Amino acid sequence: MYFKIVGFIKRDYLIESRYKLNFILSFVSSILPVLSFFFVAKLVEGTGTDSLDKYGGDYFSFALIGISFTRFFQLAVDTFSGNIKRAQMAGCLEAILSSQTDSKTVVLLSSIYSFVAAGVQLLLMFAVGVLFLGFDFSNTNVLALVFSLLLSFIAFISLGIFSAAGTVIFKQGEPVGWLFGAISALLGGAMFPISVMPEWLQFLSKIFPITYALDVIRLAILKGYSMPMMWEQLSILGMMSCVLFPLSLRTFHWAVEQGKRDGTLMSY
Amino acid sequence: MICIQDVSMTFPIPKKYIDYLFFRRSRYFQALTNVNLTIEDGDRVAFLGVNGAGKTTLLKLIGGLLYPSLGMIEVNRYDTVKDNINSRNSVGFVLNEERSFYWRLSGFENLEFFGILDNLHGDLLRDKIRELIRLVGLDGAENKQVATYSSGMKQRLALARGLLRDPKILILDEPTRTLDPKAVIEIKSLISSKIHSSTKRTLLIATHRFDEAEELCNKVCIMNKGQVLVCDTVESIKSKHSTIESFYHNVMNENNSSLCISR
Repeated sequence: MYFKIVGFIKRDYLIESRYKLNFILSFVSSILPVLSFFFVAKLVEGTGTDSLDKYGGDYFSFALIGISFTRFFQLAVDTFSGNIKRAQMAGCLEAILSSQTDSKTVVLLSSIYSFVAAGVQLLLMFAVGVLFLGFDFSNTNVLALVFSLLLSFIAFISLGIFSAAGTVIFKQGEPVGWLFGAISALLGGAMFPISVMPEWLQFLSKIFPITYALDVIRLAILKGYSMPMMWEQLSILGMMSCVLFPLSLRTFHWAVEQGKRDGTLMSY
Repeated sequence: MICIQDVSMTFPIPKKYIDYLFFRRSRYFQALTNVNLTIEDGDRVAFLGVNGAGKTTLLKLIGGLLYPSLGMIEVNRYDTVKDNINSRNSVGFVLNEERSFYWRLSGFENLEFFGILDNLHGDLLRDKIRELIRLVGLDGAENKQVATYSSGMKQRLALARGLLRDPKILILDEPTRTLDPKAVIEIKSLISSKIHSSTKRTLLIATHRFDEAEELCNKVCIMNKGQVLVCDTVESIKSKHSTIESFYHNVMNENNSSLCISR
């Protein structure tokens, strides 16, 4: 397995790095939203809102965590289906699936480089925030943060694998990625606390893992909350992960088998 | 040995918007109908037929890339549906799709990646790649990006990829389709002299070229409208008919006239 992980990372790094301008721009473009929200924070500074008090009251810190992690989780959802789509369109999927590696392993390993690259972009966004814009990590409860990230990661990988299964079946316009992309920024509270929304929208937001993920990450970083203090959100996130992950793998396997039966696996 | 028993394959025809509106059932296109065939170890079989006859579908079914709608295929006693990975273990697939490589990677890097997928790694894999690069005549070009390769070079690279795990069965889907006459001769000679004669592996080739069938194969199967009309040895065909081409036209004419009568 180790050689396969290295092989996939090497393949994707070599391909990405040979599109030089795109490679550089992908890192530069991750910094721009940080600057935008820094200035938005300047604009709303001092207007005071109770909704932010739960997270320490600073809008820039709130928004930086919201946009950076939503971006990272969005990638977790998009990367699997994106890789399937690219392999279908490039004509490599048939060659890959005729190899001695099963389809589930292929789809999981195809996404490792994207996560590494997105992780580097996430760190870059926080590095700019800490070094130049006054973001503060001093309150962070590291253990609670790591655990929250792990649970969130599993939940979003599961959505990503559902999305990949959707791509195998529907080709274009698969619904999971669309649903997450369209709704996460609005309902998940990436840019504003969900408590400012009407109650029925707040209720709706509780269906989506992004709501709990951003909440626990913010509380662990900005307020230093421990795991027992966030047990309710972590339990819900944990239950979502435990149900969604095995279900997503089974769904993807079913989609590939169905594609082989229908003969539509390689079409796009 | 490959056993194909009563295999049929249907593909769904995409619905139109109006079909969804009136809740119409999906319709299907019959790509293969009741195919029965046994291919012995070491056989070199050419599948001849017009476009849409079902040649590629049959080869993809044998290679485990598709599952039959009905019937069963066993490759070295492994069912291609129930035991997909094991059935694929002894099969190498040479796809005719030029785009089946990563164009931004070199030939060597492509083979390295596909070799890893086939559970090869380290020095064993690198030595194997160097050996295959020499075998298919890509020495000196292995470190160039595939984007710079000609069609012939890509086909050579596809052959090298198909041979990475030294398969007992090699499937070639129209291996010379996109090549110029010189490259066709080179690829044919590569397959017959270096790939088959030294190892006695089973070769399954879908082709439109009679010369390819005659030079590379010892058996010929003619397909039409999803059915295998006839399979015979090249020797027997040539003893009864002057050429494979005349045999092919006779079979096709008979089949077409019997279809007309039955209508």
